[in-house]
Amino acid sequence: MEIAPPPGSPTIRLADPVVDAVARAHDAAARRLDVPARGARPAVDAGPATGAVEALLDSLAATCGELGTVNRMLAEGVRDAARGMGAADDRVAGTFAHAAGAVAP
Amino acid sequence: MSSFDTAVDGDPVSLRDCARWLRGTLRTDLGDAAARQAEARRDAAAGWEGVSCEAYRDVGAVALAATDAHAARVGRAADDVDAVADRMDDLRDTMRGIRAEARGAGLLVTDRRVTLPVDVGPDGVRGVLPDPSGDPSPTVRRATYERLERRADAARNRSEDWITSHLARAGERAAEGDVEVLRRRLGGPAPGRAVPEPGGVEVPVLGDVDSPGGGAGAGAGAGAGGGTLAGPGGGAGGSGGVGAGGGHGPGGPARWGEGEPRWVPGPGAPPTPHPPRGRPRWVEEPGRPRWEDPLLREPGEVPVAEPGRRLPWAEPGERPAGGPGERPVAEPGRRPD
Repeated sequence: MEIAPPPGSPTIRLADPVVDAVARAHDAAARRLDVPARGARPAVDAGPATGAVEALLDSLAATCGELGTVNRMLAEGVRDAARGMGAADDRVAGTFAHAAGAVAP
Repeated sequence: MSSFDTAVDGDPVSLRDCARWLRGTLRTDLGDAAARQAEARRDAAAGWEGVSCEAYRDVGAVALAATDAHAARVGRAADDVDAVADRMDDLRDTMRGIRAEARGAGLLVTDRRVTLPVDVGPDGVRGVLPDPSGDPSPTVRRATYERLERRADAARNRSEDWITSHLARAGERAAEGDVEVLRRRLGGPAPGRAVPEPGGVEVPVLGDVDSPGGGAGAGAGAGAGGGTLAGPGGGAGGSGGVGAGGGHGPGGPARWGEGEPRWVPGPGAPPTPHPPRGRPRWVEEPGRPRWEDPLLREPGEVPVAEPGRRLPWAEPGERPAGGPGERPVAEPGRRPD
């Protein structure tokens, strides 16, 4: 007899290799966006406008930093999603195992 | 002696180097980062199933679009810096021409400074030194000096005004975008901050996303007798689910907004919301940054259910009123046995 899952039941699947690939890609993106770690930017002498040019570069680099943080968080988010799913699965399994152990076969 | 300066401070070559760095390094890095993000989304689409994946892909699309937009901004900034270098070169050319004309008129030019030679005449009146050749006359030289000084001042003021306003506009364009909002919505620390706040930051991400259809990613939907978490726009949204959960529901696409999520009681909902526990938060611990979801703590520890949170452990008999096949939702404060 085939038992169909209840309508609307979601399929949930997140395998370790996928987690690794997705997280690694975001980590790599974050590294590319780490401006200070990728070498000092060139010194600028724009005369009286030097401050304005530096501010422009700071603003652009800061946004890169924000994007790097976003990518690091996405990477960790995916890893934690996998850990969370695994923990939920373990907990459900534990509940069933506990129930199964309550009655001798 | 009267004199005026024709020196132009600044080094256009350094500006052109900077523009090259913006295009060749920063923009290229952004392009590479965007490619890695697109790769991550493709990998997720190929091997990750569930509403959490949809939610991840939604926020990933926002991050990718922000990266692309920033790459374009960096390209425009490179053009802006080049334009400033061009303007400085133009001013230098103008000043060079002024110095040449000054020399031709018998004025002294020393180290880019133009000087009107003067002497004290026999009657005690200071006057312009007569030119040894007798031509041009002191009067003509004075007139030439004054004209060139006015021209140099005007050229310098015009150039500085243009550069100031041009860079101001460039700065405004560089600051466009909502990457900071995206980062804050994800609950992350500001760049350079090792620890955002004691104990981490709550993650309103997905609760801040207006989502009329209820949250994806195991977020809090509108349960029977429950409520919803809403973004400032008033739409119901999901609270943060597992990891990057949340996103858009069937009512429409997610969008980022300002402000913290707030509780909107539904019909029959308790007057006060469940305490804001149970939402994942970002913890920036050195060497181990991570999301922490209080509902997914150590195995064996029993979490308290939040209203509307779907419970995988609930039994069919405990299912509240709902449509056929609807998964059970938790009652406030209920502990699963």
